[in-house]
Amino acid sequence: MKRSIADKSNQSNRIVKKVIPTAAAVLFWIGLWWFASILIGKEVVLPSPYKVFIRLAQNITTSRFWLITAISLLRVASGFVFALAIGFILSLSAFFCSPIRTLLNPFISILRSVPIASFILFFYMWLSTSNIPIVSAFIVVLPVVWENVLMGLENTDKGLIEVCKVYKINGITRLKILYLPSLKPYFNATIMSSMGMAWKAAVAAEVLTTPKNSIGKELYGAKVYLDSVDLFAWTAVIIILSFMIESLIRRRLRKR
Amino acid sequence: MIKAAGLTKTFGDKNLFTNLSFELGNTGLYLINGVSGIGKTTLLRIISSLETSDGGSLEVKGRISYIFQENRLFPWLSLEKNIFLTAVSHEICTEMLNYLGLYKDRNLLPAQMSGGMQRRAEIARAFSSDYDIMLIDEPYSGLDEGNIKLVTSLIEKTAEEKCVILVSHDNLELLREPDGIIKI
Repeated sequence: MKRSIADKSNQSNRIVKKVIPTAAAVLFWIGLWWFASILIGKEVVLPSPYKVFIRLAQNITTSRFWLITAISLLRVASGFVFALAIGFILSLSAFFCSPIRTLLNPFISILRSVPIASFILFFYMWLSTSNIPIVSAFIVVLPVVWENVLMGLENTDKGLIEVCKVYKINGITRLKILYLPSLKPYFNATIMSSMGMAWKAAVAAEVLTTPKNSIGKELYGAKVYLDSVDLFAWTAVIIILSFMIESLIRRRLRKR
Repeated sequence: MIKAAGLTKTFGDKNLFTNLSFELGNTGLYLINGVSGIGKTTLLRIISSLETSDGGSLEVKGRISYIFQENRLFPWLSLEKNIFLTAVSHEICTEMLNYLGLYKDRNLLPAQMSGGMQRRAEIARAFSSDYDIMLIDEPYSGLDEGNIKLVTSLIEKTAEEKCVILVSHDNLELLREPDGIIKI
C-alpha cells in the first residue's frame, strides 16, 4: 500500500518536473512555427503546422505510408546494429592487439572526416540503391562506437586490473567480470548518441539515391514538386520515429 | 620462498630503497618496517609482480594473495560474488563470510556496504583464495575493535602454515612477535 502511494507520488513528480516542461517547450516551438507561417503567408516557403498535421493524418491511413516507414526503419536499424556489433568487435580487438589498432586508426579517421555525401555518391556506383542507406548509417555510427568503446576500455579501473593480475583472472572471465561491466555506461552513451546520426545519414542517402519505398524518396519527390506540406509531414515522421526509438532504448537501458 | 638481493627502487629523483636484501621462508609472519613514504607498499607491489624493481634480483616461489591498502571490490558484483571470484571453493568462501560477520549481507553490492564491511570483504577475498604468500597492506583501516581482533587472529593462524608479509602502522602490539622484519 505504502509502496503504491510512493509510486504514484513519484509518477506525479515526474509529470510535474519533466513531462509538463517538455510539452510546454514543444508547444512553444510549434506556436513559433505557426506564427512564422502566418507572417510569411506562403505555403511553399513555410506551411502551417495545422496543414502538416492534416497531411500526416491522411498519410497515416494509407498502407503505403506504413510500408515506406517500415522499410526505411529497417534500413536504419540494420546499419545501426551492424555498426554496433562490428564496431564493438573491432574496438575490443584493437584494445588487446595494438597492431590492429594501428592498422584501423587511419580507416576510422577517414570514415570520421570524409563527408557522408562523398561516400553515398561513391557507393552509388557499387551498391544497389536500397543498400546505400544501410551502409551510410553504418559508416556514420562505426567511428562513434570505436571511439567510445576504446575510451571505456582504457578507463577501466586500474586497481581492478591489478586484482585480476594478482589472482590470475584472465581471458573470458576477465572480459566478463571486468571489461564488459566497465564498458556498459560508454556503450549505452554510444547507443543514445548515434541513433539520431544513423537516421540522418540513412535518410540523406535515401534522398540522394531514391531507393524504392523510402522516406528519402518521398522527401525528394516533395522537393521536386515543391510540396512543402509533404516535405514537412515526412520530416515529422522522421522526428517522431527517432524520438520514439530513443525513448524506447533509453527505457530498456535504464531497466538493465 | 622469497629471496631478494640488492633490490633498488627509485621514483623520479627519489630513492625509495637501495640494495635491499632479505630471505623469507615458506611460513611465518614478516613485517615491513619503515617511515611513511619509504616504499613499503612499493615493495609489496614488486613482490606481487605489479611493479618491477630498478635493480637487484627477486625470486618468488608460490601463489600470491594480496590485501590492498585501499578496497578494490568489483562494484557490480555482490559481496559473495566478489569473494567467490578468487575463492578456492564455495565452502571456504562461506566460512570466511561467516568468520568476518558478512554472511547475512552477502548479497549487497559494495556501494551498499560501509567502509568497514568493504574492508572485511577485501580481507575475506584474499584469505579465501588459493595462495602460498599473503601480502597485507594496512589491514586494520576502518575496522572496529572486534574485527581487528578477528583479523589479527586470522593473520597469526595463517602465518603458521603460509608466508605472511605485513605492512601496518596500527595495532602491531596486538600481533605476536614477527618471525622477521624487513627494514627499509
